[in-house]
Amino acid sequence: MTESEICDRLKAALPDAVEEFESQLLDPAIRVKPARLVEACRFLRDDPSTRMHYLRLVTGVDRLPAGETPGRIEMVYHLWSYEKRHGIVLRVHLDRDNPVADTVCGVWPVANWGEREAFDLLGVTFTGHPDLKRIMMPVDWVGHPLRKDYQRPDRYHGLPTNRTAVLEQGRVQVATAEHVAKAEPVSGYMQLNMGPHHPATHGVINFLIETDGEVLRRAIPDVGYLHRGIEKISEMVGYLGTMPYTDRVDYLGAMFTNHGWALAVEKLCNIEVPRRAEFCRVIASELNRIASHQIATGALAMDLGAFTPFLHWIREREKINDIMERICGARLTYNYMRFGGVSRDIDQVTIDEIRRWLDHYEPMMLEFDRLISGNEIFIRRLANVAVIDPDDAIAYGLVGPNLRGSGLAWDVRRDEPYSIYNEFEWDVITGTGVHGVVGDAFDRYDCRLREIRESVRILRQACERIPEGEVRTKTARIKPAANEVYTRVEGPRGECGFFVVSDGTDKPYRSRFRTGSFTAMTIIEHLSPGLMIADLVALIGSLDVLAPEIDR
Amino acid sequence: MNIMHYLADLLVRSLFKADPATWPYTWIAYAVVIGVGALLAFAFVAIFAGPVTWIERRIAGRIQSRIGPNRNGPQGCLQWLADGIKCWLKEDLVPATADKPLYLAAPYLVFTGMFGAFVVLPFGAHVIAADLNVGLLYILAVTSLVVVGLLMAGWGSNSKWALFGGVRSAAQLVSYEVPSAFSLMAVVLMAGTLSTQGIVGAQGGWPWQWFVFRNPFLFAAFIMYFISAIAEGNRTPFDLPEAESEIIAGYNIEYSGMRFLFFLFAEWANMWIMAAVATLAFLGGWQIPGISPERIAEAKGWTFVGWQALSFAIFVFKGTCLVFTIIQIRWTLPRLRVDQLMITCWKYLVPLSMGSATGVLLLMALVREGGIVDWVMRGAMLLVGLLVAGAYIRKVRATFMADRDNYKKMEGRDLWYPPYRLP
Amino acid sequence: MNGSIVQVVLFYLLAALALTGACLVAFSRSIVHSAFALLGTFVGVAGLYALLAADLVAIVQVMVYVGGVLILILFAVMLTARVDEGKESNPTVGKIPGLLAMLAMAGLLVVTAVKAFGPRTVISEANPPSTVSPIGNLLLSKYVLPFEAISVLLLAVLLGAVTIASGRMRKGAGGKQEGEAPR
Repeated sequence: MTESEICDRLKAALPDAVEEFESQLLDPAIRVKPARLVEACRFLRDDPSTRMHYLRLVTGVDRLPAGETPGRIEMVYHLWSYEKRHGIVLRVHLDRDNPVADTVCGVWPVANWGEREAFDLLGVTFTGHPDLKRIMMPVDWVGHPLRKDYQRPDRYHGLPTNRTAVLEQGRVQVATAEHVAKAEPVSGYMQLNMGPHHPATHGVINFLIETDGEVLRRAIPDVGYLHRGIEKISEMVGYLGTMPYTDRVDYLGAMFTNHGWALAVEKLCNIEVPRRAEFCRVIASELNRIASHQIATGALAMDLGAFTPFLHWIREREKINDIMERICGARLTYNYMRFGGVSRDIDQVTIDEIRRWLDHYEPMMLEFDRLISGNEIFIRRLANVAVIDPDDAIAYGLVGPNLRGSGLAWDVRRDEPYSIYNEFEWDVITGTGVHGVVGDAFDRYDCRLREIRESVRILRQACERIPEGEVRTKTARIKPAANEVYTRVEGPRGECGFFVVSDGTDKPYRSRFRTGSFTAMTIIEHLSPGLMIADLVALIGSLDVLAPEIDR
Repeated sequence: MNIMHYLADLLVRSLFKADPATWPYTWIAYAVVIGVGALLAFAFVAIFAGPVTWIERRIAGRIQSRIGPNRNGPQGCLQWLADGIKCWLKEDLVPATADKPLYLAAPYLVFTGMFGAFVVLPFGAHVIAADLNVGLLYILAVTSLVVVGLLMAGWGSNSKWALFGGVRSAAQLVSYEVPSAFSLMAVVLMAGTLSTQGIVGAQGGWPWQWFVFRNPFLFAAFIMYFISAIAEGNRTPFDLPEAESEIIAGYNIEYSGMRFLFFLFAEWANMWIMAAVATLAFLGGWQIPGISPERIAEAKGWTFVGWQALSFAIFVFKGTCLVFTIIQIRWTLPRLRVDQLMITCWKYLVPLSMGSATGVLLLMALVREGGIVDWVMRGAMLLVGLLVAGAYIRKVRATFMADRDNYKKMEGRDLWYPPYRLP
Repeated sequence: MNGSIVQVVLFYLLAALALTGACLVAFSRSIVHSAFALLGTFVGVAGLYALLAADLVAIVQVMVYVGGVLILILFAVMLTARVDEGKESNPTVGKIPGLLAMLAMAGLLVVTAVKAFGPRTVISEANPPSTVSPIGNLLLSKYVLPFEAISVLLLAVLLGAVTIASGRMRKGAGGKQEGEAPR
C-alpha cells in the first residue's frame, strides 16, 4: 500500500485521530492527535492490511517558536511492515513547554529505550512508561541537551563542564557518589555490576545484574558511558562535517554509516551518484563488512574462552586494513563517502590487489570454521542459548544478522534496495538451527560467518564489472530545502538508518541515527531471566553490540 | 633407603666425626638437610614456573599465528624475569574494605598447598625429599589447602566478583577431587602401595610396562585423571574461576604485585604437579628402560650419581611433555560453563572413574600378571595409544598444510618456520 | 636418632597451633575468621597424629576435615552471612562461670588422659611402619560391620541432601523451569 492508502485506512478506522497527511515530505507522514496516538499505533500494528509490526525509530524534534507558530516538540515514529513491505511515518505535535505523550511501549517493546532517550535529551514525558529514566546522561543531570535553547550547566558535581575552565582551575572536586545509584535494589539476590570496564561487554557498557547464585534474575543494561552527543554536534558542524563523526558511531562498520549519511543527504538534495562511484562504494562496504564480521565472530569466540581464533581472524583483517589504506588512506575510520560519490578513486592496482586478496582469502575463510565452529564445547556454549523467536525479534527491533538468525529473511540491500546491490547475485543468509533451535546464539554466529562468504561473492562480481567513469558528481553547496528523510543501509550490525530533518540551511536541523545495537540492547533485559552469567556473555557476543553505536 | 637420612648421617660423620646415632646434636644436621632439601625443591619450582610461562607464551604465539615475547633476552627468554621483577616492585594494594588478615594470608595458603606436594614427587631413583608411606594420598590432601586459600582470597577481597570466583573455584576443585582420586586409586590398586616411589617402582622403563598401557581401564583412568587434574588446576577449558572475559580473574581481582604473582606462581607450579603425578602414576615415572631399580641401588660412586641424573632427566622430560599438552589444550579450547563443568564431573567422570577402579580390581583378580591375556591387553593398549597419537598428528598436519599453501600464495613466503629459526 | 628433643619441640609447636586456632574460633569477633581459624586447629591435630606415627590418620584428617568439613563450614558461613553483618559474633557472657567450667573440664581431661595413656608416649623409632595396610586389613576383617554401616549412613546422607536440594530448587525457581528452552 502506498502511504496515502495507509492514511485513508487509518482515517476510515479512527476518523478523528488524523490531523493531517503530510505528503510533501520525502517520506510522507501522518500527523495524529497526541491523545489518539496509542490507538493509531495499535491499529496500524494489528490491522491485516497494514501489519506494521516493526517500529524502526522513535525521534523527537524540537521546534522553537517562530512567528505565530508556537514552539512544539514533534515525536516522529517510523513504522514498517516486513510482511507487506510498506511503511509510514507517524507524527505527533506536543506542546514545547510541557511535552507529554502516551507511551507506545505496550505496542512495540522496542520503544522503551527510544522514549527514554527522548525523555533524556528533549524532556518529553511519556505516561505509562514502565521505567522512564535518563539513559544517556547521568541520572541527576539538569536540562535536556538536544533542545535548541539548551544551556550547558557550568559545573556538574563540582566538575567544570567547560574546557577553558578546566585549564584555568588548579583543583577539581571529586564527584559525589549520589549519581552512581542507578537501580533500586531488590532484596534477596546478589547485585553485581558487570562493567563498565569489562572485557566481554564490547565496549563501555554496564549491566546491573541480580543473580541467584549463578542464574540471573534480571540483567538491566545501563548505557550512556560513550555518549558524545554526535546528533547535536551534527547540528553544529553541518552535513559534510558530520561525515567523520559517522565513522565514530560504528567504528567497525564505518563505511556503512558514511554511506547512509551520504544517501540521506543525496536524497534530500536529489544528487545523482555516478556508476563507478556506486561500485567503489559497494567494494569498500563489502570489504568493511567482512572485516567487521571477523571481529564480531572472533570476539564471540574470545569471550567464550577460545583466544586463538580471534588472532587468526585479526591476521586476515590486517590485509583488509591495508587495502582500505590504499583506498581511502585510513585503516579504521574511513571518511570515504562524499555527497555524490566517494572521495578517492579505487585505482586498478588496488582492484588487482583486492582480487589477489580474494584468491587468498576464499580458502582461508574456512580456517575459522575449522578452528572453532565444530568444537563441541563451543557448540554447547552457544546452541539453544538465548533463543529469540521471530516475533520477539521484530517487536524488539532487532535487525541484521540478529533478525536473520531468527529465521526472517530480510536484508535491506535486497528488500529496500539502495545503491546497485540488486545488480549482483548473492543470497540472503538466515539462521537454520544448524546445531540447536532456530534463533539461538549459534545461529546468529553462523549467519555472520556465512555472510562473509556472500560478501566475497559480491566483491568478486563488483571487481569484474566496475566501469570507468567519475567517482564524484560536482555538487553545489549542500543546502537542502526544508524536508525530512529516512534512509537506511544494511550494515554489519543491521539496519543503519539516518533520519535527517533539514531546514534550508547548510546544517541539519535534526539528525538521528538508528543503529542496530541500540535496539539489540532492549532485548537483553527481556531474555535475561534464567540465563547464567556465562550465557549473558554469550548473548552479548552473539548480538554483536558495539558500545559507540548504542550511545552515539 | 632414605636419602635425607643418608646425607645427614654423612654430614655428621664427615664434619664432626661423630656417630649419628649417639651424637646429641644430630637433629641440627637433620634440620639443615631438611632446609636444604626444601630450598632445592623450591628452586625447582621457581626454575620451572618462570621459564614455563615464557614457553607457554611462545607456544601460544605460535598457535595464534604470531610471535610471542621476543625482546627481553635472546628470543625473549628473560621475559619471565622481567615480569617477575616488575610484579615484585609493584605497589602492594590492599583494598580499604578488605578483610585484612584473610586477604593477606590467602596467597601464602594457596602457595603452601601447592608447594607441599613437591615433597613426595619422585624426581629420580633416589631423588625424593620424603618418601612417605601415604605419598599419593598426601598429595591429594595437601592440595585441599588450596581450596581453603581460594575461599579466603575470594572472601577477603570483599568484592562480589572475587567472591563469585572464589566460590566457583572452591566448588570446582572440591568436585574434581573425586574423579581424580578414583583414577589414582586404580593405580594404587595395581601397585599395592600408596608411596610414590613404590608406584613408580611397580612400573618399568619400557612403555608396555607403564601403567597406562596395562589394561583398558587404566588407559581410561589416565585420561580421566588428566582431565580432572586440568580442572583442579583451573586451566582452560575449566578456567571458569579466572574466566578473564566473564568475571575478570575472579578471586585474583583485588590482588596486585607480589601477592598476585603468588597466585599465578601457584598455578604454574600446579601445572607441574599435575603433569608429575600423571607421569609417576601412569607413565612410569623416572624408570629407565632396561635398568632395574635394584641395579641402581647397588651402584656406587659416580655410576650411582649418573643413574640418578638420568632418571631425573627422564622424569622431567615426561613431565614437560605433559605440560606442553596442557598448554596446548589451554590455547585451543573454549571454556565450559559452570553447570556444564559440574555435569561433566558428576554425571560422567565420577561414574566412569569408579567403573575404571572396579574394572582394574576385576582384572587384577582374573588376569595373571605376565600371562597371555596380560600381554594381549598391553599390546592392544599400546596400539590404541599409537593410533590416537598418529591420528592427532595427521589431523593437525592436514589442517596446517591447507593453510600453509594459501599463505604462501598470498604472501610469497612460507608460513612455517622451523623451531631453530625463530623470528 | 636422638629425636626426643625434636619431638618435644614439635609437639609443643603443633599443640600451640591447634590451641591458637581453637582460641580464635572461640573468641574471634567475625564468624568468617572463626571458620578460617579452624584450619589451624585441624592442621595442628593432623601434625600431632603424624608425630604419633599414625600416618594414614593424619593424612585422612587433612583430607576429610580440611578438604571436606572445613570447606562445608566455610560455604555455610560465607553464603549465609551477610557481608555487613558478619562482623560481630561470639559475644562474651558469663565470664566467671565459663572460667570455672573450663578449669573443671580441663582438669578432668588431663587426669583421664594421663591415667589412660601414661605420662609419655613419644615414638622413638626411626622409621615407624606404615599403618595403611594394617588399618585396611582391620577395616575389612574385624571392623567390617561398622565400616559397612557407615557406608550405608553416608549413602543415606547423600540421598537426603540431594532430595532436599532438588526439592528446594523446584519450589524456589518457579517459572524458570517451564518456559526455558532446552539446553
